Amino acid sequence: MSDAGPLPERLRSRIEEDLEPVRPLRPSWKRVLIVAPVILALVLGPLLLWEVRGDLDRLGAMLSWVPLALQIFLGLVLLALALRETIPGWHTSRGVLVAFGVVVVALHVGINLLIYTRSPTQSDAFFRHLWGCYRWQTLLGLPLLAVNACLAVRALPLHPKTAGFLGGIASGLLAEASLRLVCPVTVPAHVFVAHGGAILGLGLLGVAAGWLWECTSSEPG
Amino acid sequence: MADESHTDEDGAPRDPEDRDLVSLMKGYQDGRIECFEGIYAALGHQIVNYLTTLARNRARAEDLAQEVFLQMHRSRHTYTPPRPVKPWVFGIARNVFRMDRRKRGRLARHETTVEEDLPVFPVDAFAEHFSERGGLARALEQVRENRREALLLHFVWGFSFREIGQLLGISRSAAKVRSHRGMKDLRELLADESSPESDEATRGEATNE
Repeated sequence: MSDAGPLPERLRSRIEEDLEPVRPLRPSWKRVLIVAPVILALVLGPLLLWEVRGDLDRLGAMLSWVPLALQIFLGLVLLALALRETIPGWHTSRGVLVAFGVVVVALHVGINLLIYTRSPTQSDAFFRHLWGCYRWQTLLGLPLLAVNACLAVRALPLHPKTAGFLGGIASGLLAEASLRLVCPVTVPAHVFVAHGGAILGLGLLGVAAGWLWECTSSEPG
Repeated sequence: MADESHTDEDGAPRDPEDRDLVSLMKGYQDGRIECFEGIYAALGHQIVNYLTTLARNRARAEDLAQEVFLQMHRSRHTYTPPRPVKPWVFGIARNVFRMDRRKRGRLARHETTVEEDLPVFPVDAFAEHFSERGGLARALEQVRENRREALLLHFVWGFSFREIGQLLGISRSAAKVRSHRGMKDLRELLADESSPESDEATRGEATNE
């Protein structure tokens, strides 16, 4: 391959202006592990602040603590995928993203339907609980989304909307993981609209954040 | 170009030239300007050629290439050794082009590539026998855009299908399919253009129908 010629002087002087040593970013999974304690504190905090649901004995560990652990794990994996989208040349294929989407939906639907069949609890204040759970899950997810955003902008998000969506879904899943052990209502309509809706809402909020970042960073430096 | 042997168990490139780029990148991250010069010398021309195939305009490609190296500088901390350097750089180049196209609108789609702007393309013996450079330019223009990009990334710039997949956000097998279909389309277009016998046969078939 032929030579590019000498380095243009203008480019050289721009580079030399701030050519200090930099430390390379760690791989995305390591970055997630580093912030995992913060994430876990945010996720498990509600269990200390609010009373856990009264039917935990009836549900057993398989329908309470195991789904909690699974969902936290999946949320952290999605967070790592979101951060992977912020490294140039390292984009996850659409097929893999769709597969993860299917897993997220299957987990959410499957676990909550099983919980309902084991402990079908209703609510007299359907709409009040609907709004209350949606609001609290979104509020719990926002700091998690902020953590994701801080990690993402330290890199170079070339697909910021995808990274934002994955980060938002991850935040929603992580927030729902503990909230499920607090919310007493297991009716599918409530769970899928309030809790599932909050997961999706955080995902869309992540897309909006990514779009905003794209608009504000599109000017050359 | 076997995908399996492109990198070793640690993700480091096996090719000596790629290994040199990794060393240069590490030196650049340590703040050594001569290492940046080495990266520019090794990749500058390739980046300009790649941007030319995307932008279809050499002058604009050269301007964009400057922006690519500036973007590289601002985000040099995002490169993680000992991974291959080229996918990282080409990923930045692709993004710079996308941002520029977004600002300019869709005008670029109507521009055509002039013969002098073509990268050096290692056509195989079949295509070389039948085509001259102008024919290759015309044929490449007609290959579908996503197939052309995968084709050139693999055959001109030496990316593995896995790297192409990671660059374009598609699977390895999808990258392979695009590249192979692009090559098949190119061969057919070159054969159609260069063969009067095939033209006669085509006319004959049309008469017999």
